[in-house]
Amino acid sequence: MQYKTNFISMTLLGVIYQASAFSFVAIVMYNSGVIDGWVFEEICFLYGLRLLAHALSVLPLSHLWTLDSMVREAEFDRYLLRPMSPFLQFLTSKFQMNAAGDLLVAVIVLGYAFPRVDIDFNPATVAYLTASVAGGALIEASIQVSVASLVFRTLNTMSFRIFTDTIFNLTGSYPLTIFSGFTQSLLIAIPVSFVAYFPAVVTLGKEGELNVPHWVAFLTFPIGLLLLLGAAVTWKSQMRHYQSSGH
Amino acid sequence: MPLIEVRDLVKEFQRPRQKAGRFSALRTLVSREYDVVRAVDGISFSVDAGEVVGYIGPNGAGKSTTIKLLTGVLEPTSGSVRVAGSAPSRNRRENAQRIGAVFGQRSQLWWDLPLVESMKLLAALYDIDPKAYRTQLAYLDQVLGLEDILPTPVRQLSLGQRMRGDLAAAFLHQPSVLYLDEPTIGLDVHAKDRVCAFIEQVSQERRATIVLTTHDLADIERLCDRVILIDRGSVAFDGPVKKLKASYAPERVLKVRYEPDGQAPQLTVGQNIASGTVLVAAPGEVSLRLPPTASAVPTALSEIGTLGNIVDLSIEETSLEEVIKQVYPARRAAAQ
Repeated sequence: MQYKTNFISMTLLGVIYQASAFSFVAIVMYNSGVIDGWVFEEICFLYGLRLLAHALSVLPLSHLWTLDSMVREAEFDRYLLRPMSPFLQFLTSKFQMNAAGDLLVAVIVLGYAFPRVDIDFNPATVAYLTASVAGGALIEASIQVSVASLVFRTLNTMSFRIFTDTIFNLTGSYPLTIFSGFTQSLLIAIPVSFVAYFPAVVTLGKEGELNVPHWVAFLTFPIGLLLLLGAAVTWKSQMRHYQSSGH
Repeated sequence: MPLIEVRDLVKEFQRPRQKAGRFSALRTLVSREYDVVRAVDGISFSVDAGEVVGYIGPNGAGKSTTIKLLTGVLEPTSGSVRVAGSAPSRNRRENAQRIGAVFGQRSQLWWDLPLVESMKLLAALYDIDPKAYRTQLAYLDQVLGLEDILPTPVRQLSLGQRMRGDLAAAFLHQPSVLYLDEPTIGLDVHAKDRVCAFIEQVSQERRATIVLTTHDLADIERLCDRVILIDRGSVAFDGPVKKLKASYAPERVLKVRYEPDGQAPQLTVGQNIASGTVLVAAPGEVSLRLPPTASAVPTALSEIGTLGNIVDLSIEETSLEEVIKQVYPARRAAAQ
């Protein structure tokens, strides 16, 4: 928080970015009223859920993009010389609040949706939602870290990271049923659909539209944990390829 | 058992082969051909606890790569590095407690923080207890003079001050091995002297094992008992500095000045006298090139001492710099 102006402008930028993305959805909804049986408030709920998981995943990783130059310019050397996990050292090297804007929009959108959708709030629902948001955040964070760790070999992961982020952003915030059959399987496989769609379906009681077994929709948190493990393994194996710089 | 053991160490780097001609950038992009660069090509040596070893060689010889392999930043392509019996790149955390490293070209301090904050962070990272931290910081202050720079943000330090900070940071956790990669690069005489004094002191008082790379051979002559010379990725010489000089620059020059009497000594240039050769024979001055044997100087003196009243005499050894200049062409010639 040393640089106040920077913090405020970055937060504002996040708000404007996410709000404009959301207003696109709002405009489409305004004209069509219903998407595949989902009314505006339900879409808001889904959208907000995805954005909340996204914001939570970005919060500790907002400086992930600096890893590229850190590896390329051999700044990463120092992490390898100290008695602490290089990943943890990187994670704590900076703390940027860029994700604050995302978080703000997510809270506003969810705040709007919650009282307007039909959710049966009981401890089980709350526990399920909490686990799902945590799982969704883990899924996104793990995939971003795995992709970023390719930098040890490729020295530049920017386009790949943006590509992954865009896929999650564009496809994760809408009902799965609007996509064709093949795309649906793909989105379940990569596993975008677990971040917000499945949790939203279960919470809103729309299990009828699932074309996967019912229990699959409850796997968000375990999949998050599994991908976290995968990310740790990927990071470790890629880090062995670190070349530093110079001779 | 030696503290550091390096066996047949090889490190290769790959780089995409650059295509020439039409669409060269595009063809480089789709090609899967690589050039392999061997930065370190079969190096073996060992270092005992408490030794101060100079690791020298021209730019691109593989010095920094070796240091990175020793510290565990890089993994060897083949061969092995053992520090206190374990491989640094496989046991990073264990190794980190044992070693300190300073890279002259790159500070490891936190750029925006006052030096003292960097020290506190390091104390936490290395799990140093508060009492040991205070004692060690006081010791480092005494050796390096940190008092005036501790409250200053690192980005505002001069190069010499920053290097003192880096040395202190590397030695805060009392490592038994210190790797110093060009710690005197770009420093003025005074700052350089401070760095050298630090190295001497931690070597003597703390029995630290030190591996030092530098281009300043005066540092090596001052600090190191032993020198490892590398050239194009392999060891060209490994032994005492004295031996290096003896094997590559075996000659000394004895210069004698006489009370002026206006007469040229009765010697001719190129003449052999005692065990040496006359280099200069001018009125009031004679110099001889002598072999490095202990008896050469007294023998020569007894011969030319009778030529007049000696007012001054000096023996010039070839500087290490001169030696190095001779080593590389000799090796290149031998390789052909």
